[in-house]
Amino acid sequence: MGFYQNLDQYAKDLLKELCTIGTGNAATSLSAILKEPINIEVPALKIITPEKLPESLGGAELSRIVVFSYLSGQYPSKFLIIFSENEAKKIVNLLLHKDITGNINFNEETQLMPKSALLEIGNIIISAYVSAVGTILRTILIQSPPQIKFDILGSIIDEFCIESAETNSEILLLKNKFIEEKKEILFDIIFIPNENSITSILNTIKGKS
Amino acid sequence: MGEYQVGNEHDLLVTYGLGSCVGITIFDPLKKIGGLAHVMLPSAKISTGPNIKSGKYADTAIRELISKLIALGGDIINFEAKIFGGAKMFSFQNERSGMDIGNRNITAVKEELKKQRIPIIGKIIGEDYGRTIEFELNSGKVKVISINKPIIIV
Repeated sequence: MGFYQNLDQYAKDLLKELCTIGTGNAATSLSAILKEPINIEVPALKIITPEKLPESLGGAELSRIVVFSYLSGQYPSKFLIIFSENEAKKIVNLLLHKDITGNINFNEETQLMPKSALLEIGNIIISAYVSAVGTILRTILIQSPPQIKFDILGSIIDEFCIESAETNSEILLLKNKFIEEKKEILFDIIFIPNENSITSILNTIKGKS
Repeated sequence: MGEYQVGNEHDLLVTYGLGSCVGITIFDPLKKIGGLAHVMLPSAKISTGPNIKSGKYADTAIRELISKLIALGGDIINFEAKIFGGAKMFSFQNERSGMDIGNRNITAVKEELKKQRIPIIGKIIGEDYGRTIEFELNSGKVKVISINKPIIIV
């Protein structure tokens, strides 16, 4: 429990700043692909117990499309991009100029293209984010190949809760909102650095590495 | 998540989005009381740290659920269990994360139920998708709801 309580305001501000730069870079890439301006909001930093993670992402019962990728090595962390069905459909429409008819179901053959489009958008956003963070940390960060799921939010993220629950530690998450105003597309990117990663990030930025 | 609920014949116990977590229902068909646990980890033994919450672990959650049901007037001889979840939602390159925690959870749940001599009379486990569980205590039936899949009654 102690680790996150010991993070002072300065450390939290550093993490938030890092995440703003990452999101800014990601928004630029997204904007170039969608050919629409993308706004971002000031990031939110939350420290929560693992059991509270689904709730803080909107609720365990929601159906959500999640693109997930992780970093291993010196900065172990996770990245999640969470779309509602509605948002996902709007993005698919912007990219492919085609509508998904009916419900999202990635097992249907007609939805293979939309599925890869969303996965690719997720990949581009996460890569842009990660590369900006890497630049600040003066290293090259390589994220895992992204994976996409459409399922009940609680079931998608419970493995991440479990990982922290196993060591009885809390979760620090940095949440950023992307907003495309014309089509009213709104979605979150969640950056979850683990304890070791936070220590490495702070040491590197403060020049102690 | 990491908690358990109990009730009588008028109740419907629900837990949302089991992924690698495991949902365990225990039912006393004669007394019409039952309980539902949503466990995250196999055993409290492997856990370190100050605040161990018994509802999070397969072994301690099942034991507590049983004593709660007995306190409500249930008889362990009548108890029947059903288990759900324990999926593997993502694959990790180095499998460092949890080492298929879903599978480990299922094994731990089966072991503890065996130790308590409670038969498992139904299960929908494994694979790679989430499940929401609705446990109707009037009938003891469990409704399993998954996205883009037919509803299953167990």
